[in-house]
Amino acid sequence: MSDFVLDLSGIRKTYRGGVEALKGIDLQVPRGCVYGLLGPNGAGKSTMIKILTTLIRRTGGEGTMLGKPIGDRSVLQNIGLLPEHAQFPDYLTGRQVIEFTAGLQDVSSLECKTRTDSLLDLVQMTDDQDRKMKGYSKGMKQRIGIAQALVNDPDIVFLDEPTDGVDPAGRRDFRVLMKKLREEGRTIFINTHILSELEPIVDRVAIISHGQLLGEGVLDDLRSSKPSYQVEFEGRLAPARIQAMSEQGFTVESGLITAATSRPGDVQSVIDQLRQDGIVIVRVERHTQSLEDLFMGFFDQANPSAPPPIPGAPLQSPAIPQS
Amino acid sequence: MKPYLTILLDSFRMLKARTIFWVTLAISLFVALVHLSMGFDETGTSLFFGLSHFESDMFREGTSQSETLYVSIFTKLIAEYWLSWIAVLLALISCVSIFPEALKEGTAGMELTKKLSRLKVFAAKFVGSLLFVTIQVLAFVLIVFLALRWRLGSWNPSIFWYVPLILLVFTYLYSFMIVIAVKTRSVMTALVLTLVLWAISSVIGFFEGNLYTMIQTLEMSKKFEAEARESAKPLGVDLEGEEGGQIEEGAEDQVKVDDPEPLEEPFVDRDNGDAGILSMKLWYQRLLAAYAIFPKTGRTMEIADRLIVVNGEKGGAKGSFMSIIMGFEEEEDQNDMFIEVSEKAADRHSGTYAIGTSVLFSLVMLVWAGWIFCRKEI
Repeated sequence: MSDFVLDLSGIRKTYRGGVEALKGIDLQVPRGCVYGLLGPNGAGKSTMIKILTTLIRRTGGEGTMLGKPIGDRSVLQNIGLLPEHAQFPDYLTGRQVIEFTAGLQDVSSLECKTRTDSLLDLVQMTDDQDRKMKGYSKGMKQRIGIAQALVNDPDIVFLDEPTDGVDPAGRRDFRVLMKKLREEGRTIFINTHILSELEPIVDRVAIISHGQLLGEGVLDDLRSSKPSYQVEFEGRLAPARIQAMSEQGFTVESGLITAATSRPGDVQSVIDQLRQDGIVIVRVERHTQSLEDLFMGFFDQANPSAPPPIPGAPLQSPAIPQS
Repeated sequence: MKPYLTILLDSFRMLKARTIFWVTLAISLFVALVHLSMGFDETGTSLFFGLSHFESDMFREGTSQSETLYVSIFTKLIAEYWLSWIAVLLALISCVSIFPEALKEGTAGMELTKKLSRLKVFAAKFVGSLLFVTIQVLAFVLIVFLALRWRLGSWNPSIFWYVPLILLVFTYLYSFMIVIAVKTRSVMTALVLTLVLWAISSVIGFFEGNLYTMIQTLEMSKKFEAEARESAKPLGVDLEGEEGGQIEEGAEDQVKVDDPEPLEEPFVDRDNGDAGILSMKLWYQRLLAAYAIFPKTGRTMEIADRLIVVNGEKGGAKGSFMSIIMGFEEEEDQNDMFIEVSEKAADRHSGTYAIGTSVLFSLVMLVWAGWIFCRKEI
C-alpha cells in the first residue's frame, strides 16, 4: 500500500462560466499526519475537498485516495468529513446526528453505540448529547460535526474550515481536540484560511492561492528555510550607523535589527557595533518564519502587485469567487 | 440497506418535525371526527354526537338512504374536496423542501459524500415523502372506516381505495415538483410551478370533459330529433319548422293526441349545427392531445366512484351528491339522453388510460429529476 493516503497529480477544475478554481494541483498527503491546506477564501480549497468527496467532478488530472481512483464511491466509506458550513438537521439531537452519519456509513448498531459514546466523550458533549441541534452554539455544533466525521473510524478525515464562526474558547478546544486525534495517529486534512489555527497542530502544509499550489512541505522545514537572527536593542542608533548596517545587508527597524542568515557568526559584528556605540542589547534570537510569514512570502512571490493583507485578519483572495 | 433506511428514516423525521405535518394531521382528524359525529337513530339523524338532532323518515337507522348519505358525505364531500385538493396541497407544501434541502451545500456534504449512491439517496427521499402522505391519508381513512362500522353496522373496506388513489395524485404532482426542485433548488419556484401545472391540468381536464359532454349532447339531440322526425313522417308532420311546411289536415290532432309535448325546435339550424359540432370536435381533439400529456388528477379521483361500495353495490358512489341522495328521477325523455350522455362522458377514458398516462408522466419526471440529482454539482 502507498504511503500516501492522497496522491494527486494535475487536478483541475473549471466551473461553468469559465472560472478556473483549480489549475493543476499536485499533492501528496502521507499517512498519519495532520495536513493543512492553507489559502485565502476562494483559493480553491473547498473545491479540492468537494472533488475528493464526489460532490463535484474534476475537469482534469488524476489521483488516488486510499489507493483508489478519485471519484470511486467505495472509498467514501473510509473517510470522514466535516463540510464547510455544515448544516445538521436541527430536529435531531447531537447524539442522533452522530448516529445518522453512522447509519449512512453502514456502521453496525453495536459499534455505533460504542463509538458514539466514546466520541461524545472525546468532544466533551456527553452531557449535552440529548439536546436538539437547534439549541447548540456554533462551537457545540462543530464538536458534534467532528464527532460524526469520526464515527466510521475513517482512514482520513477532512475538516473544511472547522473553526469558521467559532469563538476563541471553541477554537482553543478545537486545537486540543486535533492534538488528541494526532496522538491517535489519524490522518487529518484541514482546510482553513485562519493561519493561527494550523500553526500549533499541523505537520505538513500546502499553500494554495488562485487555484495554484504555491508551496508544500513539512511545516518545520518550510519555516526554517529562511532563517534569520534578530537583535533587539534599547536606545537610538546614529544615522551613519544605520546606513552602515544597511549597506552590510542588515535590516534596521526601530529597536530591531534583522540579519537574514543561518550562521551565528554573521551576527557577531552587529553585536560588536552596538556595544561600540554603547547601545543596550535586550535580546538576540534565532528566528524562524511564522506560518503567516511563510504564507505571505509565497503569496507575495506569486502576486507581486497584490496589496499586502492586513496583519492578523483572515486571509482574503480578491479575485476568485468562493468555491 | 442500512444507509438507505437511514435516509428514509431521516426524511420521515424531518417531515414529522415540521409544524405542517401536525397541522395537516390535526385537520384530517378533525374532519374525520366531524364525520364520525354524525349518527342515525330510530327517529332521524343526529349531528355532533347528539348535540343536534332532526327527525327524518328517510335518513334514520336501518334505511338504505342513511347508508347512502353517510358514505356519500365521505366520498362526495370529504374525499372530493378535502382529500383530493386540500390534503394533497398540504402534502406538497410539506414535502417541497426535501430535495432543495438535500442539495444545499452543508447538507449535501453530510449525505452525498457517503458510499450510498446518489440514486439511492434520491429514491429514499422520494419513498420517504410517499410514506408521509400514506400515513396521513391512512390515518384519516382508518377513522372513517371505523366510523362507517360504528354508524352503519357494517364494514366497508372499499373506502381504502382512496389511499392508493390519493397517493397516485400526489405522485403525479410531486414528481414534477422534484424536477423543478432539483433543477432550481428553490422551494418557492418548485411549489408555484407545481400549482400552475395542477391548475393547467385541471382546467384542461374540465374543458375536455365539458366539451365532450357538449358534443355528445348536441349529437344526441340531433339523433333524437332525427328519430322523432322519422316517427312523425308517416303522420305527415313537419317538425323542422321550415318555411312553407304544412301539416296535413287531421294530422294536427293526431300529434296532439300521440305527442302532447312535441319536441322543441332545434337551437341551431342543421347546417350551422353541423359546422359548430365539427369545430367543437376539432378543439376537442386538441384538448385531448394536451390532456394525454398532462397528469389526470381529477380523473384519477373519479375512479373511486366506480370502486366504492354503497348499499352493497360497487359503483354506488357514481353521480352527483344530490342525485345519489335523492335518488333523482327526472322526466323520462330528458333523462334518457341525460343518462346516456353522462354515462358516455364518464366512460370516455378508462381508468387504465387515466392512471397509465399519468404514471408515465410521473416516471418521465422522476427519471429526469433523478438524472439531474445524480449529476448536480454542489
